[in-house]
Amino acid sequence: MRTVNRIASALLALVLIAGGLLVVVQTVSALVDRPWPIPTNWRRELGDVALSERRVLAICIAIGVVGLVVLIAELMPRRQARLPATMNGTTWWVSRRTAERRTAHAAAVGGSVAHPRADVSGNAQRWRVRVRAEAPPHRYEAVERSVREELRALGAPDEVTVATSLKQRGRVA
Amino acid sequence: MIIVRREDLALSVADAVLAVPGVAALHPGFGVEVATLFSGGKVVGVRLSGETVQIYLTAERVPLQPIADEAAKAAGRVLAAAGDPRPVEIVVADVTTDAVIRRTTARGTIGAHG
Repeated sequence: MRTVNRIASALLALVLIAGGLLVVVQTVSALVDRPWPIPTNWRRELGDVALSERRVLAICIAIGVVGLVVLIAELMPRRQARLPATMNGTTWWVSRRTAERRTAHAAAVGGSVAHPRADVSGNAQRWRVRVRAEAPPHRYEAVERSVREELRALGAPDEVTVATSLKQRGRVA
Repeated sequence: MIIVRREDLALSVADAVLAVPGVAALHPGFGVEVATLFSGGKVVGVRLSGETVQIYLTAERVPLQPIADEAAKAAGRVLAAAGDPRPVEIVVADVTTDAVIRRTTARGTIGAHG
């Protein structure tokens, strides 16, 4: 979301620059009695527009919808980009993507599973890990052991909840 | 207070962290680039603006804790020498593929003998 906010800020800056330039052009053109690009009678024309007009309603709805979308996007909970790990009381961080990639890799190698996927979240006290893969159920323990070993190496706290879900690939008749 | 140019401080922090065994490189982070910008260049992976000094790195081995620990100490020493009391925040943004391969091989060897 930080990236989106940066892009939005840049767009807003561009709009403000364009607005500023428009004011300069309008002022200069008005000074030489050739108002451009906005005609001088814009105020009167705008005054003739009734609130009940369809275009006014459409513009209001569009602005309202955009505002609502932005508000929801900003308020929506997002996945953490990094996970806290503790070290002698000091906190450092591991990228969530790296943790997920390595956890999935550990499941694949240590548990001999296919198509592993891992989701990792948590705080400094506890990490929650969800591993999904294609494998027979008897691989469950091997996967979990391998995943826990990898998480320890990544600096996960002592309390880690691992939920493993193994699914056997459907056989073709 | 000692006056140090921002770029000099960022470069010194970067050098100190890169000298730590197990640190493969500094990392630009994800999305908005983590860097210290100055006229004529930037130091990627070190963010000096803010209440904490952020360092994003790529590790070349696991476990990560000793690497993060040493990197934080190394950066802290540079900052302390420059009279900067801010805490250091270490983010291990990536682990090199080599480390994954080495670990996989080691695990396979243990498994074969165990």
